[in-house]
Amino acid sequence: MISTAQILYVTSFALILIGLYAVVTQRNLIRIVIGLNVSDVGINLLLVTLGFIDGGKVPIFAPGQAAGLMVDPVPQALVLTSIVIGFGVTALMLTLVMRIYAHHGTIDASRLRGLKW
Amino acid sequence: MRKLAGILLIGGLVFYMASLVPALFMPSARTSLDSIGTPIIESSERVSGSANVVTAIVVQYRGLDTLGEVTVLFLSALGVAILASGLRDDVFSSMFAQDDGGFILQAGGRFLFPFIILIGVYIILHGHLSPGGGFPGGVLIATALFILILTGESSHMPHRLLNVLEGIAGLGFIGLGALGFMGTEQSFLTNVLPKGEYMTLFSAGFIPFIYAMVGMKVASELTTVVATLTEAPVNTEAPVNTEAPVNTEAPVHGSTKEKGRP
Amino acid sequence: MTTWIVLAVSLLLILMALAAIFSRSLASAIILLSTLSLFTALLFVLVAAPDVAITEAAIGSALTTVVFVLALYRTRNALAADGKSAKNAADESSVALRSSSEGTNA
Repeated sequence: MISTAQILYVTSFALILIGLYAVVTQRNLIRIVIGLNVSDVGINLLLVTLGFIDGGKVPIFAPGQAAGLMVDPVPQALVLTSIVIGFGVTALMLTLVMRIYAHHGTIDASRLRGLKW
Repeated sequence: MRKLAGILLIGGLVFYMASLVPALFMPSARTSLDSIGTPIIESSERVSGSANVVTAIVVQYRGLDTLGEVTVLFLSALGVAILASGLRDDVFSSMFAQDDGGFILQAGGRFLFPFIILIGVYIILHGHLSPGGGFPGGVLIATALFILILTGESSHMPHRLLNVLEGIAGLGFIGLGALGFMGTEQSFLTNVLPKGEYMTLFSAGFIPFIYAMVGMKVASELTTVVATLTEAPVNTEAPVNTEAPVNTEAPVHGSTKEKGRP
Repeated sequence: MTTWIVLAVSLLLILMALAAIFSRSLASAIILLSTLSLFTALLFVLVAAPDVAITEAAIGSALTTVVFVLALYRTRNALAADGKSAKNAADESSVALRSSSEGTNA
């Protein structure tokens, strides 16, 4: 029988690959940023799955409850940081896109002559 | 050409993943925690006094990473402010020129505003007892503040006040960390405040205070980011066309550049 | 039992990601991205990570969508990148933001 962790590994890899495909093939700059966001979601899911244990409990001590087997709390702490920084990077990228549009008048990546594909 | 390269890339990666398929159908979930998590879970009550182990890791065991994250957020807000000073279209006045959200949106936003702030403050202060902490609480407070922008209720955020709050929060974080030099271990970010009784609100040393500082900083920073993207220098010349040079005059709106903090 | 729920939500995630990438209009791609992060928050709860779930729901669903919509509004007069007319980008961002500013903008 397939366990939860395997389903989540496959899902996270699929999300990363879908986001990467969008970054490589799309020409609209905003769609490239959307693809990077989908990749971010996949990476965070992968990191949290690395610490998953079947039947593990939430890593919070509750009063009057016996200590059982908890999932790994270290990847969750890292993912907290990663989500917030992912938003910061997205905001910066979108401001760059707005600035590119204000300067060049287009957001088509194949029409911007700086780095020609 | 680009599509071909994309398909080749993704095809190569899918082929690599398909080669792992025989390993996919063997149930191989972890059954025990044999990583760094075990000593952290066992020592979290004694060392940090917080019931939420993830909070203890974020603030105490890996406190310098949180300081780095706060710095990266500040850098991204600074970058957005610098880049947005070259934009020319005043979104607010053109978006809400004819209709500004109507009565229902504005009254609903005004009604929800104190509740969302209350929930945000609750999530920040109870970071060591229940899931949450400084980061989602700060984000909730920022959401409440720019509900006001989005419904057309208020068009201008007090940028000076937000910058002062952000500076105070950053200094508070570093000051609380510097308190660690007064303890027995004498290093940055050690928990020297009294740890109180386990699982009450005023326990866990300096963890609620650091999360309050982090929450304040995140809330003011994110509000500044969204408010900067909504307001822009006032349009004093013709809209840009394709080959026009950028920024031939200094932007009028000066407060988006006030990011001076230590 | 949770395995079936995780399976269903994971399939939904992959379908939404594909729909967000291959959708014809940018506004629906942004809404799908917001829903994607909301369902990821549900998945994080199922994997016993509630801290991460709250943070992802607050940041991914609310803030990222607002910044995307603002970016879409500021680039609303750009020609669509797939060579068609400006119908795609301009029309749907105007409808999404209820702006009637074509007359007032220079």
